[in-house]
Amino acid sequence: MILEKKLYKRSNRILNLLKVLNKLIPTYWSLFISRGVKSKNKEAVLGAPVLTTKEDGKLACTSCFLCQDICPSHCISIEGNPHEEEAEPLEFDVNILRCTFCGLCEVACPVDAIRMDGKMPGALHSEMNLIWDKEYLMTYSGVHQSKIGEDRPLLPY
Amino acid sequence: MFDFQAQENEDLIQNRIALLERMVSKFGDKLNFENPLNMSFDENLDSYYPLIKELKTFFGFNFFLNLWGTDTEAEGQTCLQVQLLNMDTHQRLVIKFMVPEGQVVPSLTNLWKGCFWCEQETWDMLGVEFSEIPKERIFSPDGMEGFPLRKDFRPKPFQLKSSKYEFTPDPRVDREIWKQRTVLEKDFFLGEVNGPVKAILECDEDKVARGRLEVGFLHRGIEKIAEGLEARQILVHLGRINMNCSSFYEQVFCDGVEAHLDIDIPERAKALRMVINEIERIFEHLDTLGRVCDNLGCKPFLFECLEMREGLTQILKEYSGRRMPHQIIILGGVFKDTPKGWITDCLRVLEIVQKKTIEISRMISKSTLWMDRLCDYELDSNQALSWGVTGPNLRASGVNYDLRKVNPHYFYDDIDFEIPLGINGQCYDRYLVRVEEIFQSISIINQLLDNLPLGSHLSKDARIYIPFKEDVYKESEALIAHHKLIKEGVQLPIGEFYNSIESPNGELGVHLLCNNSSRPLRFKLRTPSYYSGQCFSDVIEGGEPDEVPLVISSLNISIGEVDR
Ligand code: SF4
Ligand code: SF4
Repeated sequence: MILEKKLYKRSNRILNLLKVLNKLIPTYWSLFISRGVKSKNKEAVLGAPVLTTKEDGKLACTSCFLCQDICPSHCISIEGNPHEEEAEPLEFDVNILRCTFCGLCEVACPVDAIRMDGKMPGALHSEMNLIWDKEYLMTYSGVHQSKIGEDRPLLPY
Repeated sequence: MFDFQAQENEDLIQNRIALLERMVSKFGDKLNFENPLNMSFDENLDSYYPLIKELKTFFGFNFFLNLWGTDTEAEGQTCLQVQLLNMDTHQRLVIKFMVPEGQVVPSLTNLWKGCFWCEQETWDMLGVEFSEIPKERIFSPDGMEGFPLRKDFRPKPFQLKSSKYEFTPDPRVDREIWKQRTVLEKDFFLGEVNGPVKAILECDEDKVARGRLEVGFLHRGIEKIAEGLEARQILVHLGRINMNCSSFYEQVFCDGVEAHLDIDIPERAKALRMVINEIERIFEHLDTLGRVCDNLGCKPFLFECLEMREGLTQILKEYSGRRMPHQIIILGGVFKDTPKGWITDCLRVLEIVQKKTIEISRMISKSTLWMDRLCDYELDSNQALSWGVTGPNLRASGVNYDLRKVNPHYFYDDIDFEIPLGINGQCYDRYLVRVEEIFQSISIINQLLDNLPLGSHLSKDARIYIPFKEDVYKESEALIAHHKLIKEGVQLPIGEFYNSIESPNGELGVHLLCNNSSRPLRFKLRTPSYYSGQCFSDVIEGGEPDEVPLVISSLNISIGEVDR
């Protein structure tokens, strides 16, 4: 019987292994080697807001409340200094739980005191850590100097 | 050679004039022509149902676009607005009725089935009662007091009630037989479908007799939020309604505001906006294709689709610096010119996408397994028109209606592309239409990038343009303009406008009522998935309970769009 012969043909183990490898290797190879869809040119992401400092190490912010007004999700809360005009604020909190990382606060600030730093916040342990205060905003991604009058990349809006 | 296109345009204009003349002779000076494509008129509530029926049967307004209410300054009065479309002349019409408190409005569900959710939402948000419509909260939580979109609404603490949906007896079968049916509830989350949703199915043995979707788990109240925000802030929230096609939401809003303010944006900005939109259209269709493959168990194709989507995300990220809601489109144009080498990158990625999509569609389009599973769940053209379905789902049923062709904006007039049409309106037709639209979009982008106009990418009109940072530091004029725009926002003159665009899922419209300030009085979105979500109950009839995610993803019901 021809059929039986064909069905139960003695298989060559090495040949079968080669056949399997022939299918397997390209499949796994494609996992490690990207096939050119991804773009290689990477630009910095916007990231989360930070506060910048002046040359003497003080906050550059002058409590003008512009960033608080423009924030679409109402996550900035500022407490100004009532005794002096154009002084640095007493409190400056950003609620990162509400922040949409839109960058409008950087656009609003006339003295380059708040800025998107290019790093996304990772996971944190508790809810308390996600309402960032003045000190944390100044230091969490290194100290940034405010650069009034210098060329900064254009942001949305 | 005889010019068919010119003849068609001529006919269209003739038809439109004839319709307008008939309407003017019938309704006289009640009509209000602010914009020739969107007319409106005010009417008495007594003639609500007869008038709309007359408009549907005698004046050809056979497509229901939207129904919504606005809280007015007059005590206890709500302004109810119905928007209709005449598909032959592309004429849109808004009819306004004043509804006193406590008055019951006749329901329009006899004329168009798609009014159902609209009327339910109007009760939920504004407290306008409709006859034959159950008083159920569709978006806000059960047990809440008050109506959120009224101006005097103040949130109060309340006890959450759990309510269960119960089907009414089926008029088509005996009561005894109906009692033997079982009710199944199935929850779906992101992954299987495009957002959290619950399907309630009434099963006759193992076939679905009736089914409906329960939505509202993703409701963010964008329309309420927008009333307290100015244009630039609304834009941030709009981009997050449907992450896959955020640029369409941004564009429809920006375009409407610019038209309202009479601002003409530069040509380069227009072309770049079109490029971004078409990339997003491919993105959304690949998402749908991948999800359909996933629900059929073809995992390898899902991964191929995800890889192509990743490539498109990367080029958008290269442009804007952000991955998902990239916010490239802003008031007055696009926020940045194309980066160096972006155009070649874009063309390279699109070429790979085209190759891979051809490869996938060759492998599966003709395969018997694929056709067996997908040639089902029919939505014929009558049903689709009655539910208010637009976009690829409507075109898959054979109705040729695409806003890019019938009402072309920007450069769609000069570009060579075709509209794919299906025949039966089955899942298979919807799949074919979407795949063909990917190829058409790629061809549109290629044509655009080859002939990208030169010039500025942003309109420098003082009413919307925030000056460059360097100017703000140096010049006092720029500083004053900057402060004014940030503190007060873009001033919107009195009036209202409607603007619509062909998004990947259908007609996306935005309606804005402005009152000489920067904050709108009423903000209303017409999202396409809202209507394809309703037609689910027709499509699932006679199907199997296991295939609900397949139906939802083949209709591409995006829950973020439905809930807003
Ligand atoms: S990034 Fe946007 S949401 Fe976040 S603090 Fe700034 S303005 Fe507010
Ligand atoms: S806009 Fe700038 S200066 Fe004004 S309050 Fe905000 S951070 Fe401070």
